[in-house]
Amino acid sequence: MRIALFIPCFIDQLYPKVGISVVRVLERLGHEVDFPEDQTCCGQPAFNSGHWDLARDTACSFLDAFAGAEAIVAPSGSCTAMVRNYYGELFRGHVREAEAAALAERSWEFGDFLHRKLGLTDVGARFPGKVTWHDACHGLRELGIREGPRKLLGAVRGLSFVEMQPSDECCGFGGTFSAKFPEISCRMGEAKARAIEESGAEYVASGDSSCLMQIAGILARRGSSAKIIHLAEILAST
Amino acid sequence: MNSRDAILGRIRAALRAPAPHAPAPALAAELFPPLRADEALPRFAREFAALKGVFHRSPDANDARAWVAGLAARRGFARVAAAPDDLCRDAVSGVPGAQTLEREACGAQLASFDLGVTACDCLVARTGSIVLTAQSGFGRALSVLPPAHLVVARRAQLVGEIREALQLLELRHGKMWPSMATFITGPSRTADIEKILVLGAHGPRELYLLLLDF
Amino acid sequence: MSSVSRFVAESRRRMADAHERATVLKATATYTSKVAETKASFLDWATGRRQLHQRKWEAIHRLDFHLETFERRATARGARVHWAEDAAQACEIILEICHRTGAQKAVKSKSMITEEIHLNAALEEHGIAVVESDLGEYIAQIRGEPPYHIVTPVMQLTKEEIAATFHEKLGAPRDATAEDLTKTARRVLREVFLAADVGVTGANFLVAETGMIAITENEGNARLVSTLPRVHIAVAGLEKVVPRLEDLAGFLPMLAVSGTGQQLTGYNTLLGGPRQQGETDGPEEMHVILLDNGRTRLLADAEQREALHCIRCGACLNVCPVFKGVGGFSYDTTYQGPIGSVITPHFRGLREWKHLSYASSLCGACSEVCPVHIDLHQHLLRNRRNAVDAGHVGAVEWIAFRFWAWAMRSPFAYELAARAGRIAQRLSRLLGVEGSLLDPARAWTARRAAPTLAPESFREWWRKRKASERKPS
Repeated sequence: MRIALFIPCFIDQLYPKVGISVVRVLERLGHEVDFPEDQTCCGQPAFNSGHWDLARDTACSFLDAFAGAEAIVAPSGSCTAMVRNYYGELFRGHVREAEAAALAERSWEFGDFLHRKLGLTDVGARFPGKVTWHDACHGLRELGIREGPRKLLGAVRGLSFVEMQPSDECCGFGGTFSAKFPEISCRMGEAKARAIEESGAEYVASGDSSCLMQIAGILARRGSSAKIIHLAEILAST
Repeated sequence: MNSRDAILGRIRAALRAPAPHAPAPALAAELFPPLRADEALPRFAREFAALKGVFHRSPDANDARAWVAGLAARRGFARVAAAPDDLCRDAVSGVPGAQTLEREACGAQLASFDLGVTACDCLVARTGSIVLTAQSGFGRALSVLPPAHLVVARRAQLVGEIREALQLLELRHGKMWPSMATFITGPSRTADIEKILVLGAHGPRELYLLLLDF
Repeated sequence: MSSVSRFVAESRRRMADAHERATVLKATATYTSKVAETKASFLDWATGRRQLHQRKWEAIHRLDFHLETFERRATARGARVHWAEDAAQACEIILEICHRTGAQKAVKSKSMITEEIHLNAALEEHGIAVVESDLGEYIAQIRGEPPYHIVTPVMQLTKEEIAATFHEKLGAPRDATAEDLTKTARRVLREVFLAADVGVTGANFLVAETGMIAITENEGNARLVSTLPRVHIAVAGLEKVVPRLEDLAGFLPMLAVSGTGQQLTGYNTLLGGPRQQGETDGPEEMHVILLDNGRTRLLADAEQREALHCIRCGACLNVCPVFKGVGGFSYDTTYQGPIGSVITPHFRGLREWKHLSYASSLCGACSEVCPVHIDLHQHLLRNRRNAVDAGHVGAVEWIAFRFWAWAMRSPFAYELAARAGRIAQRLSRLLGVEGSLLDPARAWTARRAAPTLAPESFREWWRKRKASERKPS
């Protein structure tokens, strides 16, 4: 399959290794990977802050960048959810409404693409380490991703999986919320960090680098030894 | 323009704006797994017990009378008020000093009784509930004011679901419902204090069901 | 102090109160496990949610018709139906009834709408003593506090704290158990029920078809409030209506599960009119007050009117990490948590109350648990959009997003901004600005380590790789 990569801005600039890992995994599976260089952002930050006109402008650039793509894969549940679940509302009544809807149907979160679209569990990865999984909110509640990553991690050689309690409570990032209400955001992050520490995991993995960024920020200040890692990085490891 | 017209006017104006989309039609599916007829009574008994209700099934009238008398003695129910229907009258006939209420008994007077005895309209198996009205319960207060409540019911009064109970009441009363109908599910309770379950907040602390299975 | 500064200050205080946080978390953990147990008995909870959503949809989209039907049927049963446009008018109507009937003592059962209209204050101002009879509300009342949560009014208090209150106000022993405390309240309130001239309740549902109100409770106090006093007044929001009696077969169990993790709440009572001919007791008068107070404003918002489906179960509060973190008092509104954040701007004004819609990570847990399938987190998002459209957002943010939009317009602008960001971060770290009071990113860096902008971005890596692939080997 010819896959168009959607690498969200913060992964592009902060965690490029995640994007590189996606490329490695997909190519290892024999797919052709393209990165439309005109892409910038799906528009979610503006959308979530209520600036829908600006979000729509950005989303139009997104539609342009990915026009004609057969499958769009992003290592981010929140960005994928934006395109799949919210472009409909953002473009309602707009001349590009149908185009946005069509594009939404072809957009996938990375792990979900492997598991549900390609039907895979074992992608030939090896990663020795004790790993716990953070169910990022958008992936979980907007895209219904829960079993997939656990199956994928379960097939990774050498990986020892441990559930944290709870795994599905919000990490507190929430985009601009983390800056607008930092104390509440950090409180939620602290609860997540505690759950990670209590699980005894060496690594906390997720499908969303924005969550991992929040979690890493808090773990570091706590002097925690647990490290963040994106699902793609684990699956790329051999 | 009075408030009624103002509000209704605002509602009509508001509803002129159509909603973005109507909800997807939900299948008229059952919410609960169906209860077989033979499961109903054991289910009711189980739920009722889980709610801390006390259930007794009587095979005959003598047993019923004896059980009630024994209950009153065991629990020290000195002042017992029964609704003036045959079922209740019979049930308390073995209790010394039990009073069958006259029509004029007032709500506040009932506060001095230890046990209120009423009939009911039906029982709901799935939830272990007792359904009664101001008619079958002989007023609103008798089934809630005294600290203990005994309900006398017949086996045939058992239905499976809440829906059936509502239908039964509609069939029985048509447009002339009593002013109060209630689904009683266990004794009165509260968990307002640190989620600690305490029975007998304001309504009866003890709830008994005498099922006449004859 | 503005509402948002009050919110920030109060939430800061409450978050630091470890004792309160622990008590609330324990309560919600108990709730969560009970809910999981009872949901398991449903064949199809998801379908149930959609069914309830549809019933409420029908109720709201023909609200005038259903309210008129309710009024007609309730009146035929001897109830007096009143329409109140706002809180002041509702209180006026109630005071008029009290005055006419010579009422001096009122007893109430739990009713959030009576909090909304500040009824107790209005009654007391006019010399009518009013006592709350729901145990949680009673405790809150004698402590002089509002309810903390729409369903569990004192979930933030431990048994010890309640015992201390009872000791102080009622002379109960300091080491009273929960059982003792409940018995004390029962004894005290029994006298109140028996002496009250007027009983005030809310209504969980207004059944249009039969002209009855339905009240859901566990304690039995609402039954007593609507039985013993001579006059019964029920206050209900316009949106409480359901079309048919049979609708309750779905609403009652799902309300019970979502509200308290019970299969069915202790007492679900249908009241249609005052005492009828031949009945031995019951109030002589029954009044139902239908309250607008901003609901028609929300109704007019076609996109958001589904927020009126709410059956006030409190589930969204119990799963909300923000509510659990800052507590009910921080909201400073009648309705807390996600539903409160959604509807308060419509009831009280967007400009002053938009901040509640921003104080959310949009995790969606609320929408996931709502038994009537309200997409609560999406409504928070729409409130934000409405706030921006109405010009309620500050200049700084407005400018920041316009800059952001410029940066995202083209890959060139984006990479320029990224390069500038890299330089700025290096400088900030070099000069020791990061993490200090001067750091513009202080909102993040005060409590969290900041991520480092990568020396080579993904797209730079990609371009390099593409270039090297094109090179002849």
